[in-house]
Amino acid sequence: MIELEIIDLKKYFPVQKSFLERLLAREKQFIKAVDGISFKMFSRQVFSLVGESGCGKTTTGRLIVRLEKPDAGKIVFEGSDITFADEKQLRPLRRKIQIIFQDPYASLNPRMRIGEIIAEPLIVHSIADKKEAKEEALKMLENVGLTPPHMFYRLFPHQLSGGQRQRVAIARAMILKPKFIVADEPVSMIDVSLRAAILKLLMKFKTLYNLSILFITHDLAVARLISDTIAVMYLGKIVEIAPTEELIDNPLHPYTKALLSSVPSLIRRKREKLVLKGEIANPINPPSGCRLHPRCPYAESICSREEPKLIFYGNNHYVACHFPLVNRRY
Amino acid sequence: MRKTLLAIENLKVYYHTGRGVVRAVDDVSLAINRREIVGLVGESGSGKSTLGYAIVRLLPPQGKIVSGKIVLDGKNLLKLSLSEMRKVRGKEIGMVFQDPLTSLDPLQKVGDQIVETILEHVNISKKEAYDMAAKALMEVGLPPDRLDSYPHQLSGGQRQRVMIALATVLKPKLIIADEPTTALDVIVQDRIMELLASLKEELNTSIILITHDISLAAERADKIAVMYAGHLYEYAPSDEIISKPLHPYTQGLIQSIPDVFARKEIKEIKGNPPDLVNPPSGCRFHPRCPYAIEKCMRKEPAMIRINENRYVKCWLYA
Repeated sequence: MIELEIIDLKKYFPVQKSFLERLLAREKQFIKAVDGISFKMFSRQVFSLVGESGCGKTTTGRLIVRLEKPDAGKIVFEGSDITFADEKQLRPLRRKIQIIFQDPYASLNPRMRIGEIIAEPLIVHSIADKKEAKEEALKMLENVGLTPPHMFYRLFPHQLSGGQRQRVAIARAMILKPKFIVADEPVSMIDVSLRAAILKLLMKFKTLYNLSILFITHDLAVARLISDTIAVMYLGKIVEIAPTEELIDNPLHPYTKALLSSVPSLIRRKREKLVLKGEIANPINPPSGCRLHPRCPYAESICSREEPKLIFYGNNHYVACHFPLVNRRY
Repeated sequence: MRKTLLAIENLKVYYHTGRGVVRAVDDVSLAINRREIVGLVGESGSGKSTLGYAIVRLLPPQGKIVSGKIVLDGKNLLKLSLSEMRKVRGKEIGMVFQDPLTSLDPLQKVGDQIVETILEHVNISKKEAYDMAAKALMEVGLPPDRLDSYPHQLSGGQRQRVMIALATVLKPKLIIADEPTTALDVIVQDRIMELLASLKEELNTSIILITHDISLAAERADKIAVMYAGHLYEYAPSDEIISKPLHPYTQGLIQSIPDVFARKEIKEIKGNPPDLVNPPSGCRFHPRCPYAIEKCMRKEPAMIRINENRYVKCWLYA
């Protein structure tokens, strides 16, 4: 079943202009953070959005939970169009869709006790009274491994380690028994030896609640571990979507291959490196045609003229490239 | 010429904080050979960065080197005066830090910063220093016209290249790179690491690569030193430490990280890293160690020599 469908979604952020530029009445400029992306997510799937900083993956996540307002396109969740739903219409959806942020230091209210932080959504959504909410929160603390729960209930965020705070953020997101989670780099600020536990915790809830998870990460190793499908973004566009193993064993887009050949790995293997020229272009004025073309070793003249569409290549594999690496097996 | 470039002997670095004494580096000994890249691996609070900063004696004011020796090419750096030490920094030891934005002067052109470093150490004309700086920029893959740029006009990767140019312009014997690519995206990270590796070949330097990423160290370093809670627990050639980790912490670390090219289950290390104001008795890893025996709680294990190149600090091998 399709849980979420994104169609041609766009979000442009206006660039702050200096006084002088306003005086000169220069044309308004925009950062094209998300520039027409489409994908489908099936229920109970973990779908990862991967890419480098500035590719638009975080903005995509924030658009889906409607922390940002889309400029164009469609977001269809469980069959209903929520693209431009107002706050009142969003209310019931907020119960079903939750987000977990990267920074467990910034995402928890420092003045609230851990227990209250976790119980709050139940009260906000008038699902439980104070006493029931407390009981639920205690159960949830146990569930996320913060034991003894009565002790953790009374603590404040600053008394917890980063890993423990991320457990609190997960507990708060899960207490409403959501259907859909956006997890935005949930382990990238956590120490290496504690990451595994947080990822396992997420997967436990996935099974428990039949969750669908949109997982946003720059880390392909983490994406490989937890996702069913991976979509790769570059400069506001999706360049490739495929089932996880398929994408890693057989990348079709030169950008995906360049990413894969740069990730450090403990597996000793012959690395056929794909090296891109230069650096990521400015998202205010992205290159014409395929946005990778100035950096791509396989680019030909069509690449600078025509934007490639996301095309089906079998095995649930989609790629937006005029010259996909079909015969260049990895 | 000696084979060993840098020998750290029984080094202790403590921080005096309001909560008490933090034993950040506690009795660490480590030898680094010429032309060798050593990956210093550990999590935050393991003492890996403190160790790096202690070598160049750039600790924050609360940090004190309590005892030990740091011998570079036969010279104990801890015996040098501040002005002698200043001559060592930049000239004999180059430094690359995680965040080039905070370690480059935002008000000074890149070229002027490199020239200043050169003139501090070598007696040449300004013109010659500029030529040297331009050459250094080309060595790190930047066009020489970047000499006239300010740090904010460069991308993160370019800034890190400038840092590397600064660190290598005087052809130091040793480069200390503290998380040099942690703030960068993987493609840029890979290029910066390639650059460091090629400069190492060219300049015959040794590199201490301080990183939390054991995969990165495994790919780039000849040897890996694993630190945990202020102690050095294992030191071995990268291939050996990855294929056959001896210390339970190293084993746990390797099992806990996912790998893009492996279908594997990950296993977490139970518990949390300790508070170094009050570290666990005996082996500092014992509360989290699946193999801990009574002795581990009581007595700190000695560093055990497995063979010429392999060392492990664990009672399992005594």
